[in-house]
Amino acid sequence: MINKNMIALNEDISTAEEAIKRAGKLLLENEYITEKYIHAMIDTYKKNGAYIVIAPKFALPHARPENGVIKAGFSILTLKNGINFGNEENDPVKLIVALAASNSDEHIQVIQKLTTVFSDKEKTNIIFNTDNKDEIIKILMEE
Amino acid sequence: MNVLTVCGLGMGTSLILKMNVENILKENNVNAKVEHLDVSTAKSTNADLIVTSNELVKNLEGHKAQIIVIKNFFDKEEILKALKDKKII
Repeated sequence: MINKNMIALNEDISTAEEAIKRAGKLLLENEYITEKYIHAMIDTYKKNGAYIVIAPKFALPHARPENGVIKAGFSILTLKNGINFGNEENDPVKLIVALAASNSDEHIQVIQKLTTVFSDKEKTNIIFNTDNKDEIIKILMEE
Repeated sequence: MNVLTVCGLGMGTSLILKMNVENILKENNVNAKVEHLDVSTAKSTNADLIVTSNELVKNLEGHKAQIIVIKNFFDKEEILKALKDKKII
C-alpha cells in the first residue's frame, strides 16, 4: 500500500498546485500512476475547489481511475509551512495525502486504512509532526 | 432511510464519509442505506439525507433531502452531533 519512498516530510513548498504535483510525483516514481493523473488531480482541485481539504490542515487530492491509475495507493507529504488551498474552515494545509484511486477492492482497503488512521487523533498528530518516515510506516501497518 | 455521502468525484472523500456515517448510524441502531456519489449524480438522485462538505453544498441547492455539512470528515464526534441535530439519531 505504501513504502518509505512514497513519503516526503517537512518540504518547503509554497503553492497548492506545487504541493499536489510533489505528492503526485511520489506516486508516479513508485509506478502507482502515470503522469496524466497528476494533471488530472490539479484539474480536479481547480474545478471543484478546495473540498479536497476534508479535515483541518489535511488535503486529499485525487482524480478518477481512468485518468492514469496503475494501482491503488497513496503518498504522504508534510509541509514546513502551511499552504492556503482556499478552504476557509480547514486551511492552512500541512499534510497532503495524494490518492491513486482505482475501482478495485484495494481502493476500498486504502480508504478504510486512511479512515481508521486519520480518525485517530493521536496517530494523526504523530503523522503531522514526525520527521521519521519509519514512524509513519509503523502506524500505517498497524491493524 | 436513504443516505448519500457526496464529494466532487464520488471516489475518495465521499467514501471516507460513507464509512464513518455508516458506522455511526449502525452504532446507534438507525437502519439506513448509505451510498457515496459525485455531486452532479447526487443532484438528480432521491435521498432522505445528504452528507457533504461546505464547498459542495451550494451545488445541491433545491434538493429535497435534508442536508448535513461536515467540516472534518474524520471526526466521528462532529458527524454524530450533526446527525443528532437533525434528529436522525
